[in-house]
Amino acid sequence: MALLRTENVDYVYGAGTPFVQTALAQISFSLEKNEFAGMVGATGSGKSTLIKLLNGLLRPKNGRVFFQEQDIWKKGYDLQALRFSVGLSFQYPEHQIFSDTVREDIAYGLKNQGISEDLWDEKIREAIEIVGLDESYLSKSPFRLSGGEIRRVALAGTMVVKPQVLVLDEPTAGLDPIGRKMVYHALKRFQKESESTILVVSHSMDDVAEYADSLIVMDHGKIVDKGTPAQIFANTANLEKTGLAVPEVTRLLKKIKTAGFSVQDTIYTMEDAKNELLKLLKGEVKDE
Amino acid sequence: MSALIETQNLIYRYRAASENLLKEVNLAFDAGSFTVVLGANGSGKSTLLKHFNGLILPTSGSVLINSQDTANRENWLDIRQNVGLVFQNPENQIVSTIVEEDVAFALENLGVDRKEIRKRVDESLKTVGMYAYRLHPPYKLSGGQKQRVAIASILAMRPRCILFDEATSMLDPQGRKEIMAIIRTLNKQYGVTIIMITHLMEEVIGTDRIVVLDKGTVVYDDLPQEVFQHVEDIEKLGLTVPIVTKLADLLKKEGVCLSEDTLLDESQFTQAVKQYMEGKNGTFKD
Repeated sequence: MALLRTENVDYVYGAGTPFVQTALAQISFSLEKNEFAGMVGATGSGKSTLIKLLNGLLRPKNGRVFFQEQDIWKKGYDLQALRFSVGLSFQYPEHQIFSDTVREDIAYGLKNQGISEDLWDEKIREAIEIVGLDESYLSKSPFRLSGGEIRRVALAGTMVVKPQVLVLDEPTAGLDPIGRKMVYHALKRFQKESESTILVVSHSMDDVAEYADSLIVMDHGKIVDKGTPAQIFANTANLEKTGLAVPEVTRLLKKIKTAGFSVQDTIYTMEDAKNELLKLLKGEVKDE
Repeated sequence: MSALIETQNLIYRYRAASENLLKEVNLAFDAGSFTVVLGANGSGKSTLLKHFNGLILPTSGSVLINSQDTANRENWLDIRQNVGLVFQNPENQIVSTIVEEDVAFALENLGVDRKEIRKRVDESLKTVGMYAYRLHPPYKLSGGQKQRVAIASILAMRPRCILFDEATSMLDPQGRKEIMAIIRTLNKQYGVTIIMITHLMEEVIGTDRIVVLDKGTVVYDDLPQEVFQHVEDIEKLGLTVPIVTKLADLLKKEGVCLSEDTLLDESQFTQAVKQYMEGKNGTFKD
């Protein structure tokens, strides 16, 4: 049973005006419990619109959205509760921070959900730890932290309420390499420890490929490909048509293969690429 | 000939802060050069860039643009016409509701003759491939297109140098390619001096020079192949080396040395694999 799924969803901006534009057409996809999924697509492919449909921030023109097999637009459905279960983190979440201390910021969601204050300390400590920061940060002003730290504080604020599904729009945009790694480590840990489902929207193939179990490729408001990273990256031409690039490691191996060497070219992590190349370089010399 | 941009013992500290953000930075950039500035978040690289057109003034030391001191208010108009800055978010730098008006904005403020404005606006838009969109409203453009308009607005002022502060980081791969192609053309064909901050290694390849900042100090200032030799050191600074460089380094640790030189791009890497395999086959046959 899918945890969250959409069925033939269409979304149109500016309906009834001269500027009408179809943002999504016939979108059907599902997320399973404890899945780490990536959604990739060029700017304007409809990714950001789609994620707003997942917790009912936007209402589809046609089609349906189900959470735990319940139609979220059925009369009487508790959308407020849905938004606690499906957490949405927008691009540059730190722009939404307004509290004086990190602790206050993380507590904001707990307060909104009416969670008893006795439980706050433990939950906050857990959340700050998951994103790889320690308790000394709790009394600091979020505005004094570095870009990577404040991003993780914002993440902790989303994680503290333990959403069953966490959807993130470009969680690593503008971060340096270390910052990117820390954010993905935090997400991976959160997924494992709270058995949550994660959907990351990104156009950085290298990041998504390394961490996601499955990928969804969007182009011009449609889903054009779905599968495991290896399946998706096997089809370079298809991916590049949508304005995306295959991970650099994959591109390199394809190039080496084109040069006449026998290497597997659906590899997308550094570690696998190293092993594949070692096999080639250290391998037995073939008789020609 | 003196450098186009020069910093002398540049120190900068935010007013309330106790520690210096930039610590005695001495750098010079020649006219027509192409430099990439690398550094982790908080290393001071954006602050450094903002010194180059007088958006920020040094706490002590000085910054000279074309031998004009940025500390002297009277130089600002000259300096800012000579050195343009493109920011990360294209949304933050567009002011008008029509593309061509946006490009004309600075020229109108400078009181340039109408005919000349028309000419320069058209030229700039053609250079960045946005002439066909001159009558479009900017909000209908993609991120990459908006960023191209932002570049055209600067080009219209005929600057000698353009600074890019992670100008492609909010764009998709296609948009990035477009912007990088324009930046390279500006440098090669028009001789515009480029100083660029980026976290993306694919954008570093092909530059003349890399400056690496760490906690406000210049720790490397060299050719890309020299800087990226130091894989572990660069990673310790919170940065990465290009993926092929990293891969070659990992292979070396496993006892396979593909090349004595630092490999920077896929072609070099593939070539090195070829040579290595030929060498191996050769020795075997002997």
